[in-house]
Amino acid sequence: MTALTETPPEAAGLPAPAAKRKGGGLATYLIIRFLLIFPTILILVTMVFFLMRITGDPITAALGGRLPADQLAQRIHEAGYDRPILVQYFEYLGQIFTGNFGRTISDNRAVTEMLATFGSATLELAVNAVVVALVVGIPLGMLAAHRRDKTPDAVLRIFAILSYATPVFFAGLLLKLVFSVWLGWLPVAGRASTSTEIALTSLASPTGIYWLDALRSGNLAAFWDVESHAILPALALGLLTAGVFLRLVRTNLIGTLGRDYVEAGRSRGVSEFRLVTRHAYKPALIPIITVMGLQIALLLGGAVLTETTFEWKGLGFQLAQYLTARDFVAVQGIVVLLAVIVAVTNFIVDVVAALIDPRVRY
Amino acid sequence: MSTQTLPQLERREPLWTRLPVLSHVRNSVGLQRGMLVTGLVLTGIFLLMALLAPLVAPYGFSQISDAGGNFPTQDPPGSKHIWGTTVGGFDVFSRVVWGAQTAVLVIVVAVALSIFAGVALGLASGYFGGWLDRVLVVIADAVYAFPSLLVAIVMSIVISHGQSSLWGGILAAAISITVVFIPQYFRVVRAEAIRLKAEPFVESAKVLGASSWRIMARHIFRNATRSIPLIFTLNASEAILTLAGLGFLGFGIEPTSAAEWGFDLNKAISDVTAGIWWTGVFPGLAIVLTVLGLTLVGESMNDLADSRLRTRGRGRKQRATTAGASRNEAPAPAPYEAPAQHEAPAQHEGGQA
Amino acid sequence: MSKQLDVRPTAPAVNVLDIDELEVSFATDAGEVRAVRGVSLDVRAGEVVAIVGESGSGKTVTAKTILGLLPETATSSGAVVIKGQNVVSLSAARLRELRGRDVAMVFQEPSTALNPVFTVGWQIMEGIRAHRSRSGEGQGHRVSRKEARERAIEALRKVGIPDPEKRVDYYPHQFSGGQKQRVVIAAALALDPELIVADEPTTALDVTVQAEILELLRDLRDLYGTSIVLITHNMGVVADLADRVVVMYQGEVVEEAPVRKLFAEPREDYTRRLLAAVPHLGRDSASEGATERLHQDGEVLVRAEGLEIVYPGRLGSPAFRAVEGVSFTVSAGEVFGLVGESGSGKTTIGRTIAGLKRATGGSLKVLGHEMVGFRERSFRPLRKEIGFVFQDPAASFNPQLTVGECVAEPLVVHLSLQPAQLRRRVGELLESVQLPASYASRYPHELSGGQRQRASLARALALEPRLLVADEPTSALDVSVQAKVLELFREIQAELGFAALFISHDLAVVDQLSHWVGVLYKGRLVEQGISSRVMNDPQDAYTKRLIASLPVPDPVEQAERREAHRALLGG
Repeated sequence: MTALTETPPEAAGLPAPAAKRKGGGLATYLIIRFLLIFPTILILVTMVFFLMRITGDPITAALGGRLPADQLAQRIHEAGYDRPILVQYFEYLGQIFTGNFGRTISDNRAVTEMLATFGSATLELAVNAVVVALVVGIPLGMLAAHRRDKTPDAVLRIFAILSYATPVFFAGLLLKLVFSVWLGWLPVAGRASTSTEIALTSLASPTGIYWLDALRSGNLAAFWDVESHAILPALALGLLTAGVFLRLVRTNLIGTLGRDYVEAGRSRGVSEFRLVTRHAYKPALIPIITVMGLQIALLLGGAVLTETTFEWKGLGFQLAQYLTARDFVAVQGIVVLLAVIVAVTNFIVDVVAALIDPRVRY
Repeated sequence: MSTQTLPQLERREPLWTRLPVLSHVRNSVGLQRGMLVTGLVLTGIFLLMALLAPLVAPYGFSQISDAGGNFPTQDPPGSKHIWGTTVGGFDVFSRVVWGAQTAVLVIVVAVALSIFAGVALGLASGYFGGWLDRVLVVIADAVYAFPSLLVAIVMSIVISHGQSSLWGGILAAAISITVVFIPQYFRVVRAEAIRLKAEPFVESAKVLGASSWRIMARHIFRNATRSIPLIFTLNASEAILTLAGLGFLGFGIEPTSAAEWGFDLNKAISDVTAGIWWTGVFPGLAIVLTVLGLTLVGESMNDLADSRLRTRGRGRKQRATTAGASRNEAPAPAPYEAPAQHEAPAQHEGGQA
Repeated sequence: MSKQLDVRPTAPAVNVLDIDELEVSFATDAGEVRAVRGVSLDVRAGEVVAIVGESGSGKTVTAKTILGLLPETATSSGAVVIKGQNVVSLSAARLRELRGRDVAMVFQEPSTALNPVFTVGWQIMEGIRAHRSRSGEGQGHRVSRKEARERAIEALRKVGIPDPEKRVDYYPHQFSGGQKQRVVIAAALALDPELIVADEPTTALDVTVQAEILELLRDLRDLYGTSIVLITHNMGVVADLADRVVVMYQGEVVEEAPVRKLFAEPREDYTRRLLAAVPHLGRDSASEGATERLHQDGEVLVRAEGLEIVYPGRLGSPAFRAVEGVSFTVSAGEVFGLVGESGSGKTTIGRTIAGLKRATGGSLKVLGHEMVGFRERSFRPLRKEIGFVFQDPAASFNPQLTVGECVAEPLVVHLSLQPAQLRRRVGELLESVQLPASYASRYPHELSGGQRQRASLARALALEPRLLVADEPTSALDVSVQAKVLELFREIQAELGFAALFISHDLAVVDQLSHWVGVLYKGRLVEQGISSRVMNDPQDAYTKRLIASLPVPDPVEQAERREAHRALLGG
């Protein structure tokens, strides 16, 4: 027996997302959400900077033991690492603002240029993987929720758990073993065969996204070459992410399928298929999108490992190289760039979620 | 990450049936029981392997020779080396067994540290709110939103500059993982504390004049930490993945200090191109099966704790009689004036669990 | 319009619904639960049949069976015949055709029965477009979007949504609660079904809104001849709307009779007890015959003067004034009833008095302590003088502690007793609320709702407070349980003589308990006075409407009241 109860206004708010409900409107929310990006990035940059400096300067880390002490001291002094840490910190902040991340120690190139060179490869891999994850994960998640506790659901659940339990580098290793080594269908590693690579990098103003460059130059052979290289990494990373998406869609759909409004739709004769794909799916979409945004971080972490597995020369591959070389200036640059990407993606995702929700829009 | 709710519908039954894992097995049916039992078996094998590594493993983890001379390198599986040897001449089987020990040590240290810090911070932040809460939330969100592997890498650099002995390596890996996990525990416990703070039974204690300390200790702590065992299992599996990821990038533990699956996989990548599969497949399978075991246990416990997700034993097979029945699992109507059961708050599945 | 006849003109007895020997059982953890046992009933064209019962009576399960909406865990047998088709054994596809076209449903909670991310028009159209048009012979055609939209607008117009051409594109959150329920009804009407199943259609609504929705349902029956199966626990609603009543108890039909007959001469013992437990406005008033305020010479325990309570706005949204300019006093020994609909601020005032919420303006003195500018430290010593009973007995006990530990909590916090003394005191307290002392070792979930609310009262009274705040203490309980708890409350109050602030939305309950009543409306105290006087002769326009809206559990009297108040309710 439900009673009439008074709810204080703060408790009467509707469920996620944490956007505002009345007054002010969407614009205020968007502005505040946008401004929140900056403290997030600042906190991460600050943490990364100080953590990496607690234990010493990057030059000692990279070259310590390989250079005589006086040369080392000279290099440290030239790079300004012997100044007070706070001075260095504020200088670093100022540099980041102007897009200057310093120079790498191991191969002495501008970090910004390095990021630009390898960023496009990582972007390509991440986009491919997201496409695989969405195309596989969302329909399968709907299927699992629709056929809940039936055979398809059981099979998909096992797939999802397995995809979680498998590290992306092991999945990559198995795919390589089967499709490249045993069957010989696809290339083992890299982004393209050497000739294609030369052809594509010598283009005028390349985007760095190989398939796009191949299409723009009308080089179909190069396009197929690039795509055949892209399949295995995209599958390895994409399928593992698909498992996460599948579970996300399933859980949220099951949640909304149990709501009164779905029962109400059913009571009006709406078909089960339509109840799943429209009535329950759209309200479930808001939390799904929000959480998918958080998965971008997972995806980027996976990209680092995938790139190393497939010698995909992107930021992750470079990161591993620089880590081995103890080049912490380069590592710091890559980490900060990824932090910015994550913060901006999460902002975009929150905005999309807010725009889908009519309770925020009106 | 999920949160459960109170009150629990639990009868006072003999103690053994109320022990967490056993009661879960008893309450489960069908696929769920299969998942739970599989998970328990896999986890059991993993723990036994770790515990009995000196007995099970024929060779030491860094042994490359015995009385019969140096081990052959990249030897395919055979009678002497049942899973073959690596390019460095290590025995693959022995390294997989010893790797379990490293993994257990890292999990125990990492999860213990992070539960302690995460729960304390989450409780304080959620209950008291205010500035402390706001600052902690911003930091936790920033770390949480960031690729956990990168956080672990940064921490690993801080702690050991990436090179380590056995305990140095284990501690470095464990603390790196801790830093990743604290925000997760923090978020879960904080959310629970905030929810509980508004529960009438906490307000009731407040109206009675109970002190904040008493309310936290007696009313919030026990209710907020009920989902911890579940997160523990899920995070244990994540700890293994993070450790393997660090090892794969060459940031784990030196092969001469301890055996570590991720490191072995890294070395195996180049072998694969030459068709040498045994150096990679076995440590990889060890990771998959261990994580699978822990995840299955955690998942099943989660399902069984949440009445909405629990599979019911009967009724489903007679579906034909209620053709087109609805898909949602409405709890059966309570018997007259029966104790009410609380519905869990809608939850989104998030994180990597 | 309101020809409230005991027996409808039974022309050719065409039944729109025939339920015969229906059995429904559920598979649960505790084994099989038989929710409906051998229920038979029928509904004739243009008739309103009420199915009443308390929780666990099987009334809602019966309602869901009519549309084939049972969950998978259910097994059913028997027959539910609509237009010659047995719903129980119908295929999924045929069942889908039947739903919405031959029988439709109105839900309890309009805010959850509407999908928040689609426009109301879309939701109504979904039902229309799920079926083929009936206009053509045989198969009929698939309804076009345009036609469906026109029909949706038409349905909204029928249920009295103003400006339906525009509102059809609104989202649910842009409507008020009562309007949402109208939309839900419009969706049910969209395909002109002969039968509507209304599951507690007014339970989630305020009394004044409930009156409007009941009026709408009555119009549907009178204007379009729609038959209605009305599921409810509220005897006032039954008296107001039903032609025939089916009383259910523990899955079985106890009694079936025309509405006037049932109320006038109930045949079965259970029905009699149920009817006796229903609070009836104007009967059994605690202030009956009083001509001046009782206990007015007592010490003033609570004094509010121009009290203002504001919820701060967030992120630039304006602050919300929950209470403004409220003045009243509660004296020792007095039961002060505070009534109002949702959003009136009654709960806020109760929580502020208990120090759970901050007063922001004016003055509020509780036991002499000024609550504006509240400091927990200086108020804490006074807390033992104040007891608080929460609405939801299930949630107000820590599930990890035994009932004994919960009841002992105030004693532990404020006194230092030996364990033996503590145990004895807890036993005494439980016995004082008519619970066996042995219940101290049980866990809250092992008690029923009524038992928990008694234990809650024991905890509130453990330190013999001078003031008790009871926030809707019985609204989560069934009527028969409510009656017992109210009786207990009355006895204990008379015995211990504490002052009480009794907060409720139920006028009849408040009248039964309180000596003095205050009526809140949108944060303002619009009227206060001796309870029986306010109930019989309200002065304020809002109070008048509130009291006129409340259906009394007597069909004859209710018909008269409805006639008398027609102007006031403003049709």
